[in-house]
Amino acid sequence: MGSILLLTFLGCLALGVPIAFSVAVAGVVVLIVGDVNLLIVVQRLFASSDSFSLVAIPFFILAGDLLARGEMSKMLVAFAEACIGKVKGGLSAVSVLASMFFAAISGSGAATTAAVGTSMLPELEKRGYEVDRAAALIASGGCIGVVIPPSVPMVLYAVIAEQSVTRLFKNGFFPGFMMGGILIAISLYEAKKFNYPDGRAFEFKYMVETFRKAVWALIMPLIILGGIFSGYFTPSEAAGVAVVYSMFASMFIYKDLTLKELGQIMLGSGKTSAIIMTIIACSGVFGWALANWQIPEAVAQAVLSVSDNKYIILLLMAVIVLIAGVFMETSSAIILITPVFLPLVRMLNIDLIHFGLIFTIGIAIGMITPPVAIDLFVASSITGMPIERIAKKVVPYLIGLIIVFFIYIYLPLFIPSLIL
Amino acid sequence: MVVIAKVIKKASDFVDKIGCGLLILTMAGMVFFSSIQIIARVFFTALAWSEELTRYLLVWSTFIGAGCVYKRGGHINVSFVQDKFKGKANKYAKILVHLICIAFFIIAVYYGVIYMMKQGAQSSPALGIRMNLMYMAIPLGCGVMLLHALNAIFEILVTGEVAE
Repeated sequence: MGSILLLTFLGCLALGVPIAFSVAVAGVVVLIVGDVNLLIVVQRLFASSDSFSLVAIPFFILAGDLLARGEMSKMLVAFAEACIGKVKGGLSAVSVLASMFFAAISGSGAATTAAVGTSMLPELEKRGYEVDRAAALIASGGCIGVVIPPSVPMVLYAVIAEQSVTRLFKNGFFPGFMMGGILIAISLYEAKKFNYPDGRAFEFKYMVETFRKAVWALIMPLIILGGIFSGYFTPSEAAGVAVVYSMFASMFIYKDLTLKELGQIMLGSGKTSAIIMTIIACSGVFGWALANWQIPEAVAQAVLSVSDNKYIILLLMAVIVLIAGVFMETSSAIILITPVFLPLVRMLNIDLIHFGLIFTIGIAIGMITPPVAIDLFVASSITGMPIERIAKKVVPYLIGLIIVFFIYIYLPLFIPSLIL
Repeated sequence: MVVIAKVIKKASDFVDKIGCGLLILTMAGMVFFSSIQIIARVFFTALAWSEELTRYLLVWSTFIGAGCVYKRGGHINVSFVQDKFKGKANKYAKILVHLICIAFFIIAVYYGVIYMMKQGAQSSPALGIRMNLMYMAIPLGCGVMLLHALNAIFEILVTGEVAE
């Protein structure tokens, strides 16, 4: 059954059938071969999309889309720059800080890249930065978007692995800050090497002025994350608050959003979220087949018969996740691979929260590795520069992020208290 | 065949317009009802029905949205094998993809209707709405995608071009 499932899935995929329906068709074929009543197809389609935790997905996408286009991101960037002051290549460090900040509001890499990119890239170009390198840095900063909470991939993982969204979110800060730190370090080194201009000299008055404009954006992560971690909101409710808040701020404080535009944005976010949700719904059929014939357990047994060393198998899984990130879109990779890995992770006694973070970071890195690299697509559409050119400049950041990835995989095994 | 193609295109465009409108409504509805849920809990008493309603709106928005995305060829796929085929072969490969999807949609519609009739008489726990209203999202959404897929096939056959 496992091979029929896999071959049908890969066959459909190779033909060009959308991932969602390849998964569904593979599931249906196996059910027919196994002589199972096909009513289960409908039941799974319904049950896998009927979850309040998943409501966070359209909400975080919508909140991200609302912010990415708005005045709010410009105010934030101005404030970040005012804080950093006169540092060589300061503006590239500012763009990483801005990415980290946006990561704390938005749950997706594309929205983070779009928000920071649209407000910063024109400015970086004006000040004499190389645009392709700057675009590469901002795209890499976008990866942090799904690691620092909130995060759409974490919500997906939490639902599939039946883990707490809140706990995953809490553990996102540490690796997220490491990723930001390494990107800032690399960008400052490059600023020296390529002799980038200094940042704007520090002025207290200017800082206060930009702070006053940015304050509405600055309190947003406090509301969202504070609400979740204090237990005041569920993650889905917090996502709803994020939407309402960014709607009001854009309409009444920054005044750059009309009702008509709001409808268009909702339509766009609705489609983006439907793409992910369709894969989730359809993977319910696939997942049922996996579970019914205990395919993941068989995979786990096969792997364990080769080696039962935790460190080696983690390395193997990490490499698979990285490769999956190169060829697969973020959400599909999480939805499809998580159920296959879970029994193996359980048998090896690896903390499921730790593994969820490993998965999220690994797949986040995939957002800057072509051919399937959403952050590079966004950066390329903002700058109008071909993806290949940006992709070349991404290499040092990519190496930095991969180093952080491997540090995060092994460090908590020696210092367990790192997992909150 | 051109006439049939035209009729199908009209139907597909019309349904898509409604679909996009409904998608905005379901999105707005989810935002609205989850806000109400928070406001009610903070200032009054917790509502029993808002979470359930939001969940059902999510199911509806998923299957309506799937149609809007299908119409625009937006579902994520892997295209590098398909791109290797040129000219006629490429056309047939694309038609084959739609046909495979159609096969799935037919199953989803057929069993979706059966499921609706079998389980639909139950009421939802908090809202007390008949469940077949919720289950209907699946056959309806997949039926819409079936229509869009047929339209896409006819467009390839008639114009020889592929709608994006």
